[in-house]
Amino acid sequence: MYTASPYMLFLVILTAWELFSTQFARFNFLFGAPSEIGVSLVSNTLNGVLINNFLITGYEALAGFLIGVVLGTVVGFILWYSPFVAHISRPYIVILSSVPVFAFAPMVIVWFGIGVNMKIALAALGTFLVALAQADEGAKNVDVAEYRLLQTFGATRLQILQKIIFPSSLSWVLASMKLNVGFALLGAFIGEFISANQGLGHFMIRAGSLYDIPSVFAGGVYLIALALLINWFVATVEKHKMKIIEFCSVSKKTKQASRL
Amino acid sequence: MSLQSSQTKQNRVAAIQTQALSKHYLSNGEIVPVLDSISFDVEKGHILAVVGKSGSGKSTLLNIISGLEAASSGTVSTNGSLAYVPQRDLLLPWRTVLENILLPTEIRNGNLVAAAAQARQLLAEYGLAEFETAYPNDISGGMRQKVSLIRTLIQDADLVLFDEPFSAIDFTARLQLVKEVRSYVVFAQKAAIFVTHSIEEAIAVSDELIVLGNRPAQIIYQTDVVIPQEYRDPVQVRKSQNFQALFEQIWKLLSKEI
Repeated sequence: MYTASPYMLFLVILTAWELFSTQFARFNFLFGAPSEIGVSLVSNTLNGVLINNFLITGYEALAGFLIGVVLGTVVGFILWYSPFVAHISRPYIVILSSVPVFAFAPMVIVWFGIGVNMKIALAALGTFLVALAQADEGAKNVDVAEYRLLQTFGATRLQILQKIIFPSSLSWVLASMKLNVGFALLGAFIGEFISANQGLGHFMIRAGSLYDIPSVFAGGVYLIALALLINWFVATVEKHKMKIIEFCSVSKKTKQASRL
Repeated sequence: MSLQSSQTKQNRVAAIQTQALSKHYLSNGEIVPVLDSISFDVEKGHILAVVGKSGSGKSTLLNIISGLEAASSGTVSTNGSLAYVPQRDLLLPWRTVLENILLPTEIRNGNLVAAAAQARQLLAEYGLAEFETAYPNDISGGMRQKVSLIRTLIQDADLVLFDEPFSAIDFTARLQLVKEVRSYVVFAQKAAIFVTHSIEEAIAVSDELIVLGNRPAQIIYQTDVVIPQEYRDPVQVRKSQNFQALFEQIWKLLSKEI
């Protein structure tokens, strides 16, 4: 009973919603009805429209996410590697991070047009700064004692980067991926809202302008599914964090020697 | 016996030597002295214990000797390669025990296969043979510190600096490791500096001992430690003849320092 209670609440709401919308036309106009949402969901799934839009938005968000995370992490490392570059660029980074990145959308449209690339760029922009801040913070949080120990081993700055800075940064970046994935999805979605002829954002805004509220909800269901799917993907990656770090920072020769 | 001792006298070349070593930091435009005119030398096969309260500049001293920090004045000369056993084990959690031990060799581009063979031998000696593929988070603090020690031993450096290496591990593991350190340095003819705040540990492990006074640290006491080999651990050492007088002398000095 206790574990089922959230689902029961869902059922109660759906029933009330359905009742209200059959009783009051005005309510129906504003909120649609669960049965109508179901019909829209099934028909738009069967004719492939929602699946197609789902794949497009998913592609935009994931591509933008990966580009943003990789670029942000790499730039974070460069800031660590070159204190001079960090000194020059830090004020700009602070300024950039305090502006909502989607304010740059008009520029992004000029640069990338209104196609899929524009949405990827917006998603990447949304994730880039977060990843950068995390990589930077991770590098700064490396244990001074560890750093000194590696120096006594005679490690070069590049080796220190690979052996301890990178792992520390990566765990910070990975820890922020859940948040970041939300930004990527938001970026792709806002891009589609601004201008698009495909994608879930486009589907929903078009349905809204035709007063087809059930289809807006149907698009929302797919959007939630997409967010859950990407979250699952991120959680899976995070679960293998240690393996990923190990793969990137322990040399192949060491692995071979320790397996003999 | 007499022949041997005359030979060691002839070989008295300092492996680590400091002369009038001083260090100060600048803090808000003010000069904060940390080390004041520290002079000592350590020869091969010997351990110098450095005893002092926490914050007395012992770690700074080791940093200067290992070249991580510059001295403000005075000189340091080291004769040979140098390795360092940190206060905490500093094992990297994404590396197995063996991969952690191989890290210095990996960084120096050395012969990893030979190092791995040697590492396995040492792991077996320390009773850790079955843990070579374990990750640091899965083994006890005492085991981790042993791994940290093996990571140092495998570098086969001429000079070894110990920075309170056993302060965070349980007493029995500590007893064993103090003995191990002593026999390693004597047997392999290394020169070592052993920083500690435990007077027993210092007496048990060292050939010479200095006591650092507080802020700025200067040598307030310097002595040779003559203890027979069979008493060389922090429990047995209490039974040796010279222990009591030495302990009380150091204790008196340290308790005067606030």
